[in-house]
Amino acid sequence: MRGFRVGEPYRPLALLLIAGAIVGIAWALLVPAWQAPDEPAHFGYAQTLAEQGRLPAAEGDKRFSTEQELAAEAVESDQLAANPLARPEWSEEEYERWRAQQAALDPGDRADGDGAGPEGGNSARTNPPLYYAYELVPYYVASAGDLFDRYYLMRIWSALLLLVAAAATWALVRELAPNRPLLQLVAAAVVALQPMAAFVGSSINPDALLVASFAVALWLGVRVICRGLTLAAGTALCAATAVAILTKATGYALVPGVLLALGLGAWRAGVGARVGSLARAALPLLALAVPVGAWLVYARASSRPAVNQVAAADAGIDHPGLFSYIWQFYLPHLPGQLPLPTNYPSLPALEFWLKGFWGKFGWLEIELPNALFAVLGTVTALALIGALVRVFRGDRGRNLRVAAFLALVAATLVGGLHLTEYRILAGENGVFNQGRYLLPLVPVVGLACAAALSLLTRERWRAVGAGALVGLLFVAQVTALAVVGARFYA
Amino acid sequence: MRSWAVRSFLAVAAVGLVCLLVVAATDERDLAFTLGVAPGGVAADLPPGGRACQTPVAVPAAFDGVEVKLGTHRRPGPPFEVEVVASDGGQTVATGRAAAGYPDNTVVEVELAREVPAGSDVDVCVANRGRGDLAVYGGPELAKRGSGVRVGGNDVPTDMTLVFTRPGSSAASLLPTVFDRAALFRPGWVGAWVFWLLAGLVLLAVPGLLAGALRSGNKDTRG
Repeated sequence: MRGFRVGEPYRPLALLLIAGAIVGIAWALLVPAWQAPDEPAHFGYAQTLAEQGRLPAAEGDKRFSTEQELAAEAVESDQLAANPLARPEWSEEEYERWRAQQAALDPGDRADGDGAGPEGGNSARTNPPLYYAYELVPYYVASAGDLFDRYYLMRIWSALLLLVAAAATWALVRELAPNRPLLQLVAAAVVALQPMAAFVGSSINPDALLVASFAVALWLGVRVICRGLTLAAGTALCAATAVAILTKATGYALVPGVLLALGLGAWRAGVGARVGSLARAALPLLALAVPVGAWLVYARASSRPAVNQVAAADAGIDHPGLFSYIWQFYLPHLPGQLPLPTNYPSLPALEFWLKGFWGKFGWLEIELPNALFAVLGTVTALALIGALVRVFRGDRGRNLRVAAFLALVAATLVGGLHLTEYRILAGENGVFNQGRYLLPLVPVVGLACAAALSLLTRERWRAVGAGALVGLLFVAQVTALAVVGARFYA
Repeated sequence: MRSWAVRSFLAVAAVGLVCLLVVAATDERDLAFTLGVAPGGVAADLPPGGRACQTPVAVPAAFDGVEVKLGTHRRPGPPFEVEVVASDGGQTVATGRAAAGYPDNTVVEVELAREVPAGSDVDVCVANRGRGDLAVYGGPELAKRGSGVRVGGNDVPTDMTLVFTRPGSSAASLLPTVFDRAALFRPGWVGAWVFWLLAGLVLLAVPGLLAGALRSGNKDTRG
């Protein structure tokens, strides 16, 4: 009898995805409840949607349900968050006490969280609902169990989204280098095994769906640019963009790049038939405009902000101040510049974009060892430089178009983050940026690694580089799991 | 013959795992448990002869040392005692004494004369035995649920920053304990065995899968 066999081109990807799934489940179960950024808010949102069939409200007097508050108190999640001195509750007696209390709850105790409250309400309540709707599946599947049955199944379900991102990255590189399975694998491995992506992806956090939808949109955008615009590909690209926007306002960062991709795709497909191409380019936009428009109308009708509250920071823009802030984010402070507030690190780019991107876990209080940051930072820099060189090798026209698309998406995302932080800073509301906000660009880092490796002309060196890079990612993963386990349980 | 990709992967993975193993074997961990109270301010002021107790403290793991963060108003610290007494009756379980002379704003570890066993509720008291003032650091009362500070018979709305220690063990030798702790407050089907299984899968199956993926992917011959 013949067993199930994955087709040869897909075999490396299939093996990688199985490895990624194991890592994702390990992360999901290892991290204590509510010890990933904003998890209490995201679980509360999903529970409100599941139990009450509505989005968290702007008014009310109870932020989270009685059930959630009881469980959070039992594990001492608030005391533990970002406090390296604290440990989660280790006492069997406390666990049994919580089980008895949980068993005595009424069904209504799951459904009495408003999302609002005297302490400012649920900080996630201004998010669009798509990710939380996705999380309804595990919530309902485990609804007969206690809170932690539902909670950890939601995490595992979320972790699957990173596999979607890895597969999309694999497809992206396959689009550009169809005969290079090793390069496809390396790019996908960067996504599947990036420690921060695995940590955030396997928590209850819309960033998981955001990363997946960005990866799919980047793949489809490159496909449209390379093959020309078709109705199906354009519609799929716009739909992926809509998914990103309906997940988190950060998704809007895709829009300029996607419009560029549609334009380049129409131009490529439209030799001698430009009018038809323009129509073809316009039609897929409905897949973006209709769902996003519906959300905007609903949000307005229900007096909800249509984008996250942080983006609504209302301070104006002072251009010299903005320039000074961005300068000091990446470069040392110059005489005469108004210094950044004292709660900023001396070189924020290193702290946020390097350390925060690769590995700051829990509520950012757990870090990878500095030696590993140095190696990962060097590899990232080499990959980006290599990718830049690669743009001007081979099919330069195609490469430039693809690079312009990816660079526009990246610049819009990073620029938007800086603008938001600057406005918050001007309002004296403190630090905003975190490395995890760059995770939607992790497929670009994967592609950059593949592009840099492709510069190696000897096959043996390419193979050695690819193996070493995947090995480094594996070591980073294991180290990350170890430092997180030690912080919480040793 | 193994491909170069697989060889380099295995080499990097092996070096990384060996480094991790060395760290895990040499990293001594002496934490028994902690109240998890961040030292945000003064929890109790102790004049000479003063005494403050954190009460009650549930003891989930045996300990024979207590770390306490102290302020001494920029003077060398006075001697003090840590007394552990049973919450139900006040019988002394263990005591320890710290000598004078430690600096201001320092964490001082006090060794107890005997081990305090797990499973009991105790009061942990800091008593100033010197001539100078002493401030015990801690946080607001809600920092530790169900426990509070008492000074001279009066409740004070704070919690002390107390860390309970035991003889150091390597991080690697704590693995069974780590997995037992990680299995609490999880879905009903998750026990320590799940973490053992996951550790095995991450350390053995994942590199195997990645090596397999690299071997399959390394049929890339076009330059």
